[in-house]
Amino acid sequence: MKNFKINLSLNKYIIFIFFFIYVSQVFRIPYNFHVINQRNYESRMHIAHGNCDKESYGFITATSKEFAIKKNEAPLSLSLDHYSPEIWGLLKPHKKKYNKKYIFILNYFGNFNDLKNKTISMNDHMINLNDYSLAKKFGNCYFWIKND
Amino acid sequence: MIEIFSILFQLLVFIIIFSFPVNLFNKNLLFENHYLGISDCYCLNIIIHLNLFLICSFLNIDQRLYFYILIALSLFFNIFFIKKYIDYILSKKEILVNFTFFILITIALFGDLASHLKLEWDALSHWVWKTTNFYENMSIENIKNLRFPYYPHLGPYVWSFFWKNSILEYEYFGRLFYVFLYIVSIFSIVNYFFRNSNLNKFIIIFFIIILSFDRFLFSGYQGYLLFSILIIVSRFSFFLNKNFKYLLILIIIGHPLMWIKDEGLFYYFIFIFPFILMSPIDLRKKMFVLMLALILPIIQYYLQKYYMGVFGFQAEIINDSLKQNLNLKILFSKIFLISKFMIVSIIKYKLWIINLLSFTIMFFFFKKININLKIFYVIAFINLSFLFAVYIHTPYDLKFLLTVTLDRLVFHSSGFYLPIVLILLKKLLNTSYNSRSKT
Repeated sequence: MKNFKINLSLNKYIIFIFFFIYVSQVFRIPYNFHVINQRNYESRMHIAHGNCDKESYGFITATSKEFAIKKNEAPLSLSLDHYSPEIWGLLKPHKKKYNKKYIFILNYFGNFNDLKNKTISMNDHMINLNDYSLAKKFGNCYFWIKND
Repeated sequence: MIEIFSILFQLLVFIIIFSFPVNLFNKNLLFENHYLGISDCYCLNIIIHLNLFLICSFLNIDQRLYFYILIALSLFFNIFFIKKYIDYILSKKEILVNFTFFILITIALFGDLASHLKLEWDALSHWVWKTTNFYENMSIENIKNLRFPYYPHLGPYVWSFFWKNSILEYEYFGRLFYVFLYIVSIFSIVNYFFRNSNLNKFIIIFFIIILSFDRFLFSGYQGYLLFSILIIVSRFSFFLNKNFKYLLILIIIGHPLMWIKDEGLFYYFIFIFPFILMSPIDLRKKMFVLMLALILPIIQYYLQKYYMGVFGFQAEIINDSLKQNLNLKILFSKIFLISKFMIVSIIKYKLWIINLLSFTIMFFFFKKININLKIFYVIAFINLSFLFAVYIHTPYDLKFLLTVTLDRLVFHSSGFYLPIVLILLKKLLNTSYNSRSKT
């Protein structure tokens, strides 16, 4: 009788252990924590918000770093051909002022020469791209700096 | 590894903060001898803190300073109960196993959110702007300069609060709060109905999470806050409509709804007022409670209109297209279209299928129990009528609006009807257990 009781409670614990393992597999605990461990926050954000696709998070952050754009300045930005609310809301925008010196044009699938002759409305500013030089291009993402 | 440690630390922060002020050892001061488990205390404390966060947002109190005060108070308060907590958790193996399961599920969903960082459309479009507004210590008055300023701000405020007060200060740490609230609300309601049977309880919790978890809605949307608060309302409604004091607590529980989303104001009326109206307290007290319950939306109106400078809804309440509905052909075509999308949404958020099935089975086979749960049927009817009214009333492109919003509206209230499902399950499990013991 005593052995039977021990077996019964042992069975109960084995069921719990299997259930816990099953739950952790369903919610992919090992995989998710492996991903968090292997890929840092920035690379996970690249995957989530794209490098030069989706919101172009990768292109914007890498370029801002490369050209040492001050943290309190927001470049003008426009996502063409891909209607998106853009990523700027996440990049701590409220204490920044728009700096007309820098321009991002993201996800542009048209002809590059057409772009050069265009006057574009960006963040309530009218921009003529003839006044700017292309400083960086990656895929369909462009970064322009105003001519001195 | 630091990030994983930070995620686990964030869970500890939630547990510390939301163990204060109500806990298992002082709950009787407020709730006499009603059953409250650990997850119920977390739920009540979250509601209390949401109300306090709201006050802080209007007073422009520095979030970091408030966090330090909160942590200090919670630690100081909990230190008196730490031994009791340890004794309680170790007193029964079931409680320890229950707590382990809670931690396991929380870590699982925290990990899922942390490894999928995408913020979806509405989040990028406006919620995150409000969040960064608070994150950067900008005042509440600045909200009128942002996109969709008339949307309530409590969700973004809490998001920014835990984002700012995390070890690594990554944005998603703020959203972990949404996951925590979601899990404690489900534990709270299932614990209430299945107090003694751990395995049944775990399987039910697991299935509710499987049916209601949607990664998309954790990507910056506020829907889970409404979903979880409505679960808390339904869990506490079982004894809170019995006397005057409890009704006031029910109003406080429902109050954050109206500060989370526009539709939250309507949910406040739909899900709180029937409990007041159908409460057994005398008429004079009932009128007084109703007056108090009405004061809160009026305060919200004045605060938004005159303090924040914005009050409004997505569409004007009285608009020109309302006249169109007098044409029966147009009205019926709208109702048909809404019904079609409603079915699609119910299939998408399967918790509703379980709810509707339970409603039907209870109605036809368990009429005796059914009388006590009458109020849930009344609320379900008002809730569905509200959904139809919203879309019949809209002046915008109906098909587009139904495609992008109806499923979320349907989802918000799906958790509220869990008591019907749980009572039915309990009944069925007991019946099968009894018939087995007889044989």
